[in-house]
Amino acid sequence: MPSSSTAPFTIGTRGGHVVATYSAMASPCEILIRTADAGEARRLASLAHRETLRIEHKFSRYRDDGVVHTINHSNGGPVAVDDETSRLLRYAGQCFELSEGRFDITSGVLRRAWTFDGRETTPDRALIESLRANVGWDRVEFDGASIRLPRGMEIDLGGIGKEYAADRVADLLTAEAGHGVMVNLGGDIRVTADGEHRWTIGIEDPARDRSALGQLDLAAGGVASSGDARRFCIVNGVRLGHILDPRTGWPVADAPRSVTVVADTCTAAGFLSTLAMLHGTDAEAFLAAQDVVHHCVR
Amino acid sequence: MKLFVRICLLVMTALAALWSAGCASVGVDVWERDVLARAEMQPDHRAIDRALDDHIYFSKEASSGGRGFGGGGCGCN
Amino acid sequence: MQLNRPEHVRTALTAFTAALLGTHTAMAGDAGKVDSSLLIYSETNRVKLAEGVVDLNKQMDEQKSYALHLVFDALTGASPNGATPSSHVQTFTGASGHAGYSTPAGEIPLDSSFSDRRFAVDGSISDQISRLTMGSVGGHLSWERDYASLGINGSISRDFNRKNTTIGMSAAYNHDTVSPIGGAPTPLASMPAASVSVGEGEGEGEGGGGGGGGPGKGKDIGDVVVSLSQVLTRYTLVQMNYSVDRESGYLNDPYKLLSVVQDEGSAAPGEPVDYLYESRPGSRTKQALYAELRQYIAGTATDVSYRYFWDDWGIRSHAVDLIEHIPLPRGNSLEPHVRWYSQTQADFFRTYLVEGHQIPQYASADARLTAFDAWTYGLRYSLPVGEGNELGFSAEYYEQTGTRAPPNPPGILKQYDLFPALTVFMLRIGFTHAL
Repeated sequence: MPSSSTAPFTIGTRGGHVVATYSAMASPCEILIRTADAGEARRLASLAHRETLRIEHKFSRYRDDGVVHTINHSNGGPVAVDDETSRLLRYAGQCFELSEGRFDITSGVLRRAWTFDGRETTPDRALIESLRANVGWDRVEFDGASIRLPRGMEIDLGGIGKEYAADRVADLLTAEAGHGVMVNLGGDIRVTADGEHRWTIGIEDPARDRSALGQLDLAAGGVASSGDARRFCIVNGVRLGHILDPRTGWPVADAPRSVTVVADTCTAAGFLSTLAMLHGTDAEAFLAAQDVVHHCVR
Repeated sequence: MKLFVRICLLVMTALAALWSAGCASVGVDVWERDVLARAEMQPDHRAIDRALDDHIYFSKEASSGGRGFGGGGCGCN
Repeated sequence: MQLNRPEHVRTALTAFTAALLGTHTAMAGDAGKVDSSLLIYSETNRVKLAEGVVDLNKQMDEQKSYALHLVFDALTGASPNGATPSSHVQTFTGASGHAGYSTPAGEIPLDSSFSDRRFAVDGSISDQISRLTMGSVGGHLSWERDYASLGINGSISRDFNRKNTTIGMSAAYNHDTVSPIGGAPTPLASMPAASVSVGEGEGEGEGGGGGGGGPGKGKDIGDVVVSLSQVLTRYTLVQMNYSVDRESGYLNDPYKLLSVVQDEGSAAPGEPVDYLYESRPGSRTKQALYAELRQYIAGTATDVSYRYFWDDWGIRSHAVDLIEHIPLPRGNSLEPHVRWYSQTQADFFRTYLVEGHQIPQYASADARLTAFDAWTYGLRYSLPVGEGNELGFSAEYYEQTGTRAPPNPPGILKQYDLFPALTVFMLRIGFTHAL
């Protein structure tokens, strides 16, 4: 994941809003703000840019000055964590329980057994089994102030990080600007209330990039998507997406091509869209039971 | 002392095993604890009033205990 | 994979994300609370008491919390001393500090010199030892003019079945010291210088009676409680406890007497000839089984409990307690409360002793050891005040009734109500502040 600490942001306009764009978290990021003041726009864009990068750097698996890197290299010893990390870890634990183990930030190690390049592959079952021995949030000791990962285990906040950043940036800008904004970090979107204004968000067709399948009309809330349109593999002629079920070590069978969910926050939408994917054939039924606006493409 | 604590945990686990044999499926999941989390459903709801009640009944009746300890602590016996 | 996932996933998720994003102010009471209450207690024609309690619970971090409980009370008034009424004025030497006090003819003798202040403090620390286990240790201290108590306690509890089942064990040890004013009297000795002013049968006279000061009398108390609590449904919780308590040492009430009355066929049957200090066994083992159910139905929470108690003094009792929490608009609430209690008599309970009959090894006329029923009726009104605070007012009425006197008491005792009902009015003001 290349970092973009030196690239600036660019300012433009779109339909009455100032649009600031930059690149972060391996995605194109865009902020929409309703303001006529160019200086104010730059100030808010700069805040958004810095906060996105701060979160990216702090929770990156690769940067050795980040807390996730420290935890993954702690070799079985305890690592003290600050308030923000503690809240994220606690949230991850709650998601683990709420999803009955389907949502598990320790499941990242399973990726070593799979290559999702669109080609036919024969998975190494022995490798998957040995990696599964190092998966399971219930094996982690976390008391709120420090975390202890058994040797061989790793955490990956990639599944929460971008949605969390979208919500944080949106809340930060809303507090600074005094009115609502739209934050779109590569498809993870959060909009906050801006008077009577309703934000228009397009849903992408996974099969054909950039072409909209539909539109959402939101006053406030979060939108997140999960999908495997681009990353998949083929096993015995069956197409398998890249979303792995931590409980088996295998990709979920019959997952939709893409799931888009609308919720009160981007973080909540992200959890629901991931969990929907992990329900495979039952994704639509799961989302229907949650009573949230959603869109599934198969 | 540690041995005593270990024995207590062993006794409790044995009780729980017996209890669980019948009741393991009874209960609710994490996301179904909204009502149980309400103040009036907590075991310590109005604890101070219950403690005052227990003290009054301890000094006017011959029985004590139940909710917690039944022993001494005051001369109102 | 489940098709019928509960919609509550969404509710929980909303709470979790709110906590993550800091948009959720910690629930009032997460950091702890301070609870305080003032009780005004008044028995009709008897004891009056004012008691103030402060309860502090503080969460120090994710694992540890501590609690501090302070009590102060002041009581005054009169309490039955165990003697029976007489057709003459009776005079008593009180061990409770009075040179003497008299009871008019025909009335239940009351020791009116009761006046005392008590101060007690309890402290405890709890720690989440592991994800499923919680332990605590605590101590207790209390002082009154004639009574002191020192104790320690500890408990451990563990969760099972996705935290739906909790099993706990607690133990406590207390050492109490009774230092009666005027010294602890010798059990079954005659009250000294007790003159029955008119009529026959002079008291056994001086001698015996008041022990001479000396160090206080000790009492050791050990308790163990085993408890199990179980979530049954989203709206129902049950708890069951078994407790056993063993006390040994000085268990007498140093201020209580028994009248020795003339037998039928004597010159003045039923009139007192002597007063003896009471005598209770030196040990007591108490046990109780307790069950409590909390049920939520359409906004109202019901708390109903039952306790069965038994001990080796022959006492058996039942207690049923019911409290309803009824929410009203704007966070106010009403809590009606009803309790029924019934106990049997202690083996050595005697309303009086009869002259010429053998004096039993243990005897007490303390009304608390006789058979009776009791009812409590109460109502509490609570309202929120400011952020996270609650103010409550309650009024309660307690009454002990039930025939307790033995059939056919001798002579004039037949015409007296030997145990008039005890009635108590209580008012409480409580204030809870969330930290």
